[in-house]
Amino acid sequence: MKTPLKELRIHHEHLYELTEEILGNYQTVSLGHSGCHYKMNGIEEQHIHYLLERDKKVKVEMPILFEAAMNGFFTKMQRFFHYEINFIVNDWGTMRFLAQQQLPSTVSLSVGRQLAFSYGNCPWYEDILQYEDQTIKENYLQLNFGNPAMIKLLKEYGVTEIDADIHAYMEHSVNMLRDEGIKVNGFLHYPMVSTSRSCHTLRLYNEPVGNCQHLCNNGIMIEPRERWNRFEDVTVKISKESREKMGNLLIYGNIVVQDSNRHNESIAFEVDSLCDDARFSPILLKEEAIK
Amino acid sequence: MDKLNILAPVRSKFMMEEMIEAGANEIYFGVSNPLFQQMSFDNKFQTVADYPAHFSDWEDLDDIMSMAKTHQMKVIFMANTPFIPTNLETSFQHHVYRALEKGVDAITISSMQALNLLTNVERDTQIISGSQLAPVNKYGAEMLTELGVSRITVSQSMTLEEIQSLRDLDVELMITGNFGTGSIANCCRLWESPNNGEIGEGVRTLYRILSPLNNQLKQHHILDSATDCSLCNLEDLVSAGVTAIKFIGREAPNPVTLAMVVSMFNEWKEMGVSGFSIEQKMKVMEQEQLMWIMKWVPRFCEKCRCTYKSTAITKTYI
Repeated sequence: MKTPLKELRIHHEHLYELTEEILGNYQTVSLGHSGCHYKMNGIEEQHIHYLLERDKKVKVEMPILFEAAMNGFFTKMQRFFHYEINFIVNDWGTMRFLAQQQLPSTVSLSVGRQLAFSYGNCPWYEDILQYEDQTIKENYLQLNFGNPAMIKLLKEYGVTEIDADIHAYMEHSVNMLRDEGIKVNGFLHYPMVSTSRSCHTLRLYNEPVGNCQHLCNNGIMIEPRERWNRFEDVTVKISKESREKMGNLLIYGNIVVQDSNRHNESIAFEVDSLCDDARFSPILLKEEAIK
Repeated sequence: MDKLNILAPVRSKFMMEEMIEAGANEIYFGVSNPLFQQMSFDNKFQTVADYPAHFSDWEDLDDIMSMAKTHQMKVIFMANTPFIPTNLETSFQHHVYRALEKGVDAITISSMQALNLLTNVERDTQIISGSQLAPVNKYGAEMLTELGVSRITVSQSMTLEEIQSLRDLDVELMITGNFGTGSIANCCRLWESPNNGEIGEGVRTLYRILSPLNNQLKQHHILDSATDCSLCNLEDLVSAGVTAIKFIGREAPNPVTLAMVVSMFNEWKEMGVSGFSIEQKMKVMEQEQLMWIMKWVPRFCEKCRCTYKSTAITKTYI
């Protein structure tokens, strides 16, 4: 994939552990989380200063915010509003809230991967679309924001960038967004496939909410074994062939990603930045990047 | 409590008759489109586990509309696809206009894109936002109402208190009565494949855990955070401002069984109007409904699948 810039997404608690060499590979560094505000506890202004001092463009990803969390979250976040910073937003309500805040011109907004998707983000999309005409198939593999109505909405809310799990077939919608001045930040590896409000890791370990941030630093790899039937409430074994089609998944707290690594060269078109996500993937988390 | 509308799925005349009998006062359906083999202009593939989820002939709707009129039932057309490819936008509009010509009362949409494409729809047609566009906070709900939505399907993961915070908005609130996925609206890409009986909803699949854990778990429904039942909280929901309950199951293998679920909710609602306590309601169910004892209690009560009570699932809400 052709791209002039590289971006790193990382949990703030790992920021100071990154070597200068690794940090030097990225022009933009993003902190925050797309699904859990508790995981953002401890992000301080010093993290922002640390990055700005190193001439990094700084982003903070905001999670999907249920009503109960909104006030507390924004009370903490407001101290970042005066920085030159990009906030990545993952639900429409948060977008509206920010639009009402009369943010300074140094603040810009992105749409996150919880809002931006394509049918191609389903691990078994080929199975689902296999009998559709080729044109229909290609149409459904575009990004949901790659159309005039959604671009208009993005502009109304002052959104300048969009994140997307990129596939080779998305060229048309990616180009449409870029032609309209919306930057596209592409993720090649470990595409997001599910987010729930109830945290999978917490349920697994039966831990209380709030002091649990250590539980989801490492992913839990899972392999599909039995399909559930809603109406009979029974499970049926999945054959090896279908299991291979479905692939494995990785769980990071309430976020689930596909265990998938794509080659950069597999994408022929250009995006504005290529993002490595160390939060929801094994990329960079361990010996490769952290001292 | 008596203002709580019961919204049931329909895919055939037989299913319509069953839902009327069960006491539904609103119905919803989708119609398949010849452009597609399995895709549709709503949020259901054309078949689910080989069962159809749509009407395939527009002419069949004439009977349905007539029956609905006779029984004074509201008719809701599903156009709730979360994404419409640019090349298909005109086809989508024609699809919806055809339903309006048949006389439907409301349209359910599930994307901001669809809302924009339907801005020219007559004002006496109600616009409902579907579960894939469910707001998770007050600001999201305000945004929808400003754009012309007058009934909102609230997120199934919202708590009663959070639903209550939407109460002052000038909008009807609807919940899903049976079955959830546990995923936040529009955040799940692990769809059941319509073409492969082995690929079901990914969030409810049984998984083998490959990573080493501190416990002995080897296989687990680890992504299953679905909540499936709201019966015990119907009064609380009405107090919180909810005015409609939607039942899913257009693709139900047996419409009679689904109609029994609708009927059970209706009976539960009626008992609520008569001032019965939860315990009294349960006692009546035990005496009168075989389904309650055989299926409901073991499947939902014993497994703590309550949407609005404190359970292992709701206690781990973020």
